[in-house]
Amino acid sequence: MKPDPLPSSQPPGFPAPARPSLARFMGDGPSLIEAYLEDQQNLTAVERFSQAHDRMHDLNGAALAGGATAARSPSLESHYKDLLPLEKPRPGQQYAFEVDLDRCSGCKACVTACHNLNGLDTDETWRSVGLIHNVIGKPLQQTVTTACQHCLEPACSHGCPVKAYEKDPITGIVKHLDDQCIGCEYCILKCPYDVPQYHHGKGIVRKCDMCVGRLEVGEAPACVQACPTKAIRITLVDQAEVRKNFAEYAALPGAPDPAYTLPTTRYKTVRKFPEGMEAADAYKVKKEKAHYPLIFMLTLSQMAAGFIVALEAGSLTGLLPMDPLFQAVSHVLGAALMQLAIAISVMHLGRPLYAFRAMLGFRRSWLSREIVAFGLMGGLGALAAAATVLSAVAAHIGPASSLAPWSRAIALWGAYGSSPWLRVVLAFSALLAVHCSGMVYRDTPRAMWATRLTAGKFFLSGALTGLAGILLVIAGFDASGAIPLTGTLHHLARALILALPLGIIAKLGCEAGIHRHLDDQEANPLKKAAMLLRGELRLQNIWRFNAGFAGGFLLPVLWLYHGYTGTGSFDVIFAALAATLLLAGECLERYLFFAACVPPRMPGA
Amino acid sequence: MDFKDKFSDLMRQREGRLTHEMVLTPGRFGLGKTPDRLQPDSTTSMVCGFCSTGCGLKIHMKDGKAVNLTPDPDYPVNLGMACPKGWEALTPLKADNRAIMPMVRDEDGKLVPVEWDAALRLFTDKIKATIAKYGKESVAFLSTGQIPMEELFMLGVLTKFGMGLLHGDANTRQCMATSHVAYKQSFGFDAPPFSYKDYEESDVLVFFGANPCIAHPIMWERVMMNPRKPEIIVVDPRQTETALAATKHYPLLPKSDLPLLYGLAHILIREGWIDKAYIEANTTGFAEFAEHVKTFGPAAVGAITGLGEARLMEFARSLKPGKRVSLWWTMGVNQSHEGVRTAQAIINLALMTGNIGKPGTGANSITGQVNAMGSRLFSNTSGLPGGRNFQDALHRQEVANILGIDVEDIQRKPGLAYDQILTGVKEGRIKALWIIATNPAHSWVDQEEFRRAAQKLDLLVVQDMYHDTDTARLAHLILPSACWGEKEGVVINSERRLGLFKKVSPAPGQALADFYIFKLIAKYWGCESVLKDMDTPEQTFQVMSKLSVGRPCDFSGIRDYKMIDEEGGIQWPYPAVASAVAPGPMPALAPDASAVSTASKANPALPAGPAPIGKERRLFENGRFYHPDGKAKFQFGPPQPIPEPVTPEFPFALLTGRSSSAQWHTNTRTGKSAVLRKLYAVDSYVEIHPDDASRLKIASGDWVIVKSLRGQARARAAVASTVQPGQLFMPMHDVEVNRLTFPSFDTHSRQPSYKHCAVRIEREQA
Repeated sequence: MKPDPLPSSQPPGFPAPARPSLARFMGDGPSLIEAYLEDQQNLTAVERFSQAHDRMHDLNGAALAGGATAARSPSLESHYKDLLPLEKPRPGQQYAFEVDLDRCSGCKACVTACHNLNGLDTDETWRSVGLIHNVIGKPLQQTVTTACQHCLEPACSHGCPVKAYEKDPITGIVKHLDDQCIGCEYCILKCPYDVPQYHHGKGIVRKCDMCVGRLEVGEAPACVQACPTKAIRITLVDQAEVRKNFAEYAALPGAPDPAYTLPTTRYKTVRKFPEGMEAADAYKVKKEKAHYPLIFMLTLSQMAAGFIVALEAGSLTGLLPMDPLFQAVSHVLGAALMQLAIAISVMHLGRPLYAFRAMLGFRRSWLSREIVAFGLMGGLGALAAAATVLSAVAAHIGPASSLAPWSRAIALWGAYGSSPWLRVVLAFSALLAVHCSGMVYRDTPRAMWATRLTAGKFFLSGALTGLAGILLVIAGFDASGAIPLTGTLHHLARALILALPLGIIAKLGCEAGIHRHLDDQEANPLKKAAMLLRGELRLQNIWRFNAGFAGGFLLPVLWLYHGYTGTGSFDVIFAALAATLLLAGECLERYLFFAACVPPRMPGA
Repeated sequence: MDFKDKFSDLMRQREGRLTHEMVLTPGRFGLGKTPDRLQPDSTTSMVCGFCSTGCGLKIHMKDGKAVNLTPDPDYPVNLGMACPKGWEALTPLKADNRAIMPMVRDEDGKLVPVEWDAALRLFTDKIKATIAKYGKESVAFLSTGQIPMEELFMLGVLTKFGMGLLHGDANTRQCMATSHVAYKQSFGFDAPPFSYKDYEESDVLVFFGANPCIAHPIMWERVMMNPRKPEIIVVDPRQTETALAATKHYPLLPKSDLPLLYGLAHILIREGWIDKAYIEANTTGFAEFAEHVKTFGPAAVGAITGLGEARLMEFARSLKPGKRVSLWWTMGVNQSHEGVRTAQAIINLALMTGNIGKPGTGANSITGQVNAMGSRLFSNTSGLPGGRNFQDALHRQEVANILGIDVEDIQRKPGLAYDQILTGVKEGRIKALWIIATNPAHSWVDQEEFRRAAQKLDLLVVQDMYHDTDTARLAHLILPSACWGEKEGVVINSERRLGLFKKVSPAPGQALADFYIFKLIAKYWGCESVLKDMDTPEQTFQVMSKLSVGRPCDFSGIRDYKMIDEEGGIQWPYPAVASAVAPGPMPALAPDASAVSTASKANPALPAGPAPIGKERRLFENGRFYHPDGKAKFQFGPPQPIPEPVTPEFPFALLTGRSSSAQWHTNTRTGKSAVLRKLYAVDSYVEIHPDDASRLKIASGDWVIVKSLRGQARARAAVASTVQPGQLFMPMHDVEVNRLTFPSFDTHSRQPSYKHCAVRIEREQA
């Protein structure tokens, strides 16, 4: 069953020897089956046909190039020669795709050619073809082929925390450095054209590089080569001209707002698209990727931040007990939450081993800044936790003066546990971390995220879960009898319980705002998000509301109504239930935050 | 590398394993850059295995196996281009639902794998027993236009001359039967006259019921290469992609094409826009035809078609002599209850305006399947091999002589057509059915009828490359086939070009080429002598070559496969002796090849010896046709009423057709490519006009139920003004569609009419 030996091992020009033929096979049935099964595995094309074929080509090549070693131009060159610019880009110019819509017949060969000629993986595609049409009035439809727009302001590159994108200064091609990528997928959230594609097996993103390797040697990009009607070509564009007239470059119904990235692909047509022209898939809504690690990273880090800010504010103002054990337990809890969030965030990365590169993009990337802020908060939190633990140990073992040198050191370091400076800096780093998280999403072209509401949601989320956490700690200390709930602390606890219903009403209000877009006329991303929340994500949405309402409203109100007992495990159970339900609700909210966030897209992408 | 470099590389890595995986290196063999890890060590070209365009694909071979492909720049059909199906042609071979062992349904109704020996014994024992009990009429086969003609021919010889069956048909009945009959009656032979070059050389191209932008993208490439700024006219109820790309679109009412064509003929005759000299010299029956179309005045036809008199006149004016007009049709015409007359009405337009046999002209049927023409010429189903007739004693004698069989073994009339075979099954006359490389449980018009019939069978054998097609799931016995790319053979494309399939990929498991399966069945049946001289596909080709001698499709000038390979395909006719089949009256029917030279001597005006191959050749350049008198015949008949008109209860006309260039027929193969799946709508959908949609409160994306008297289909609504009010459109690739279609058939060709049935539509209740 072995394939025949390679023809390349035979002298050129020598016909392959004929295999023993089955021509006069006279065996019985089963042995004929055997013979046929064996023959079925013998691949004959190479030995029978390819040599002549290849020889012919090599001869042609040698003749054309005047030598056996010189490179030959590909057979297709005459097809695409006039689809490439004659010159290299001059300063201020760059390469760009130009699509002649009037020549595009919608065959989609460009997508498959790109796939095959670039050796992409089974379901990986770097080009897509969509359809725009006019529903009402004169029937009109137009297929639209898109790949990377090689923008002047590439959002993918601006957002990349590890500088895995480069806009080539000469060609203007936006190139992705595969080996630099850590697989954070932020570029996918940043690109309005849905260009970067995540590769699960490799844990990185990949994208169209305009076949730069081909262009360098005068070959056309795969899509240009393969278009049967020559609808795609490479042109030189003046970057200043694109900056000035970007609106014209994107004169395509259904396409995302070009102001965000200044795309360079130009769509040409002699037709005039009527007013109502829209993407044929405009009404198609499908839930988006949920990014589970990010859901937990965000909710837990925000809970940690809320908890820490409340803890420090309470401690600095004297509302919370300065009892060393209370401080130590609280700080350890806060720090642990944050470390957990950081650990989970690494699970999001396709290549977590290279996560350390993430500070490279600090100058432009909010993701990079978020990672740095998380690091800062995590570090300070750990420091504070260590200090307060030492402080508690010191308190336990007695006054510093009476002790051995090592315990004096403990006491000395422990003193930092009550340092107001550390508390203030820690609290600010927590606020900064939440702010950066908010900015990561606000700095995208996604309508549902690119608003102040995102920050509002994140801070409220932190406040609600953080306060619930503090309440739980207070109730715990009370229940254990360590710190009885009296005086100021009692009032504080009541105030905190009262704050929860107010907070959750504000929070649910923020979230419900999106539903008013259901009545929007055109199928914009917000309307689609609302449609998803009412449709495919309805159940999750209902449970999100239930969890938030139960944990943030029902329980606290019941608790207050019941009267704060000040004794026993009853309060702990209440506090634990409220905190759990609130956190679960926030996780669901964050799930919807991702799953319902419909990005802008090219038609069909 | 010092530490600093190492550190900076670790922080900012510009190159490495992941980058190298994507490196492109210069290809040899005329290729441009190709992915380094798929760099071929040789290449070989072969014809794509999907549609009848017959594109050449350059297969990239590494260690003797196919690893990638690119369209062949040197192949005269596609000039280096391919549609998505072609680019992805190797992917469906690797699907994990390939049939890799024969499978038999056990007592529990489960399909279990068995050895070939057991499967073949079961096959022959069961069929022999059926014949013994119910007679020869009780067994039939349904084959395909998807496998090489050597295999189709062998199947025909094995079943009819070896096993003694009488009934067999192919899915070409669903696609090309109408064109076959129309050409045969009009020209005297089933001979599509054009070459693809005609797309580039026309001044006016008229497409009837054809959507080449989607169905034949590479033919559309040739249209786009036309330098003459042609007028492109599309006649289709629906505003297809091609209609949008055209310069004129005539959205006639469904099934009003025959009156439209007669109406056009009426105007042309009335205005004198005809080529009288050509009609006089080269045709018969014109006077009767002129008389026939007298009643098809523009006013009446304008109303019937919904186009109005003015647009009709405008249309007719485009056909005025003086320009090169080519007329093209596909399934909109073929799949009709009166398809043959409609196709002939198109042929008549070409004949009366002299638009035939010249560059950029012709009445041209675009074929569907990759080897529909091979099936038409050699499958031994509706006609004897070589385009011969069962009814003709001389034809039977010729075939008997060449194959060395007893002439009495040849049936004297064709067997049953596809629909008649299924009726036979339903009525219990046919007990065993053998289906090869086709999927009627999806594709048959009124699919439930097929499924019900299949339940009545004692034996349903399905021979296919996948074990889970809709039809294979019903089988009692599955025979696993090797497919395109795993075997050799010749196919014939739309422009009569013979092209090669090659063996470039190993078949999975115990899948065998249909060729071997037929050989094995012959062996197990005990009739292997009938396939003597057919031990390899190429030997079989030589037998077929002999059968073609003296016939219009004579390709006896083709020495061997190598010649086809080197020439980039060869169009028939390509006779060893040119004069024998140069367009003109057929020579005296030759009982054997030697008589042909006599015929050539009889016509000294024609050159002896093989004609120059020429990259692209068309037929009828000398105005001679294949009827005994050398003339083409005007064929016509009265339009028939629509078989299932819309009613108040079923107020919509359902149109069907292709929806994407990334899908092929029942999607068994194209559905296996992840890339192709991205290029078509995965959910079934139905196009509905905005007026109808808003009246029925249906929005784009809503799930709707479409019902006909026969069944119902669930699909997503696609609100679009591409269809007219009162019409719906659904893609044929979705299995649900043929639960709705109405089983009516063209009386001449027995081709099913898929393009019109009455349905209603409603929103799915949540």
